[in-house]
Amino acid sequence: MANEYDVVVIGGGVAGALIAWKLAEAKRKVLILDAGEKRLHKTDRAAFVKLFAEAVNSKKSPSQPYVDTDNSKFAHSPDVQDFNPADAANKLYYRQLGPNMFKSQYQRLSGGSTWAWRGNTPRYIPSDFKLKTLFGVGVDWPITYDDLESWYCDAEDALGVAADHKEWNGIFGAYRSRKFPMSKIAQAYGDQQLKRRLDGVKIDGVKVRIFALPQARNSRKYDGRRACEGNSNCVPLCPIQAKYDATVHVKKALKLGATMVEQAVVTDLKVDASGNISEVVYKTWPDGQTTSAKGKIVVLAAHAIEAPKILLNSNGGSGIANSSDQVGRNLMDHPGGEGAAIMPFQVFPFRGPQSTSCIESFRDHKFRDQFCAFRLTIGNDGWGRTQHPYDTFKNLTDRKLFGEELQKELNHTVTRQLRVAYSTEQLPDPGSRVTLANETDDFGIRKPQIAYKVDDYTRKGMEYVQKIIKLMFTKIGANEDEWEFSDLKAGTYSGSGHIMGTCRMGSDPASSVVDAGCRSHDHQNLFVAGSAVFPTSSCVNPTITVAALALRTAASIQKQLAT
Amino acid sequence: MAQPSELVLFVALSKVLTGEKKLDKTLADQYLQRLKAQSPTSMQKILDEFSKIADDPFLTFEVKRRIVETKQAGKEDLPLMAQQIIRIWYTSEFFPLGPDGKLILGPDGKPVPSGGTQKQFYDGLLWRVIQAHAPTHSTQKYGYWTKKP
Repeated sequence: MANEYDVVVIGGGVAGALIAWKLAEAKRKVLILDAGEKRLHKTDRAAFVKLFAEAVNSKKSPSQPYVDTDNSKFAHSPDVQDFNPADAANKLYYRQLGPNMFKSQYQRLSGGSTWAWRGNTPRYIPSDFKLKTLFGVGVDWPITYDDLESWYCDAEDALGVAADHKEWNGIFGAYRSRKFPMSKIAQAYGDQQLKRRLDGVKIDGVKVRIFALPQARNSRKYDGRRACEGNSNCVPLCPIQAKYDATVHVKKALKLGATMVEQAVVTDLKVDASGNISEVVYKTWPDGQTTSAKGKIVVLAAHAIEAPKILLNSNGGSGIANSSDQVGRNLMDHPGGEGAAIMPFQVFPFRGPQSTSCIESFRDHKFRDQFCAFRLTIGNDGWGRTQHPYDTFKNLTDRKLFGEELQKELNHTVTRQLRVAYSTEQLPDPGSRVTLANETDDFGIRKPQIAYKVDDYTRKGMEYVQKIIKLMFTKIGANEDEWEFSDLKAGTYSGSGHIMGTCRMGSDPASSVVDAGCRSHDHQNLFVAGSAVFPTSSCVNPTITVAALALRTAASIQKQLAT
Repeated sequence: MAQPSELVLFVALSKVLTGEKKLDKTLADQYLQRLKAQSPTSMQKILDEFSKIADDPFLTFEVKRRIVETKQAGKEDLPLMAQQIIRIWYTSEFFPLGPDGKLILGPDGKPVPSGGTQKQFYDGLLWRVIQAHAPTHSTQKYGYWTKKP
């Protein structure tokens, strides 16, 4: 039958694309349904670059090139700018119920949110999988670091991760059985200056190490893609695709015979009498036509907000895969912020990738039973969110500077601007959840609504991390009068775009949505892929863990299909 | 195309305001047209004012006194217009001024920026002044960022 497949994959982001690729490679008949557009050609990338370049600076956001397409109507992607207005709760795609604002966005188009990521790929460490056992907070994963290690290696090969094996092998017990496929991304000039002054120094009793950040970005030609040319624009997009994005594996899957239907928004997963998913119903846009497809296996890889939305909307709105009442719960992010300072030396930002170095030394600190772990990234983009160079420029022209005096002052200020960004761990909270709003989108599908809280465990950690960054700035000799920090007293935090939880994995069907193999406890032919299955968040970028789990899930699916 | 004399005048004023000794004529023409189209009154006033001092031996001083920092009645918009000329050269964006010589505000009460083309964004002087390049517009090869510019 034309609409019958071995596997129907919902979502063409990194998780869905990797699974589709591996199963197409195994000669399975695969269908990828993507809510957004299939923008796979070089001309598509060039069009996005043009949209970015021609947008006024106040509109240049991580989602900007993508929300300026028809996607914004039919496959809406929230944008950071949606979080700013005072009445944001009434303007967002998803209604926000509070008590805090959820501030992360995602992209709904082929390739998903990897269009607008920095390519950072640090692994989780062993303790991240055992938070409850080791620290008495959160929950344990049903799998361990050992279970995932070889899949991490495969994921690093698939995405093309550049890093230094010696630096990362064994960090907090995270051993490596294979070297990275590429040598590390060369560290930026400014990072080297910091490294000279900080590496090996003890800050609050912790020895600080400045590592080259593992990144899915080419340090040489790899997998047919060019080496990074330092375009300073990993987010919202790499103009030459030196940075990995999931269109790589969408294209590989299609080349191996997979089918993709773009602009296909899934509206319902129908369940048969045996409890299996019998049909995937979707509407294509802009025509609004309803179609369906059948798969022996269905993979829901639609990200941590769209995935529960689809599950809760299914079966006539009564929901599926939810006997545990856990679908949509435990929504997490990595609430972040930054400390910015004028360095006593030039760092020359905006040359090279937006970040090349990191400090992991506080990922497993001694206070983790009391407040969250965190990691630090050294920005190579001036003062980042704190102050864009255009704003520095405006400050100077407001002071009536012009001509050579303006040039001199602008150079003197911006070339010494440096920021240290932090991202923090967030515990699962069943009250932070995605449910369905009464409002519907243009297809009549009930929109997601979000309740979200940043708790004291995370907020105390943010206080500690700012103390650590201030100690670092002092050690470097940065003038305290020229520091700027995210205002914690005002409750300030930013989203990291790391949307996790909402379909968590676990051994007990009463308290989790999927099992350790990412298969639904309730439906034997339904798998959930992506960061939605994460029981806890760690404090690091989730993508390489998403990719490792996806490859592991693809192998499980292949086994199930073979039986 | 602008009148040659007007373009020459605009380039001369732009050099003083931006601190650049050499400016691209094609870009200058494009910027002049954009500024004139969206801020006609104040642009004409600033060019008229500059024409009176264009040959002054102490040009920078005179531009500062009579344009950038002037508080003379009827010329209050000149400092603001000067900022927009600098802004368009540095960033390819500017905030248009209305017939009253004030910034045109949007519904949110903020000035409404006018953006440039992709090439104009790439040619923004700001990036060159900070010894970098516009985002998405590296012309160098892998690893250049490890060295001082």
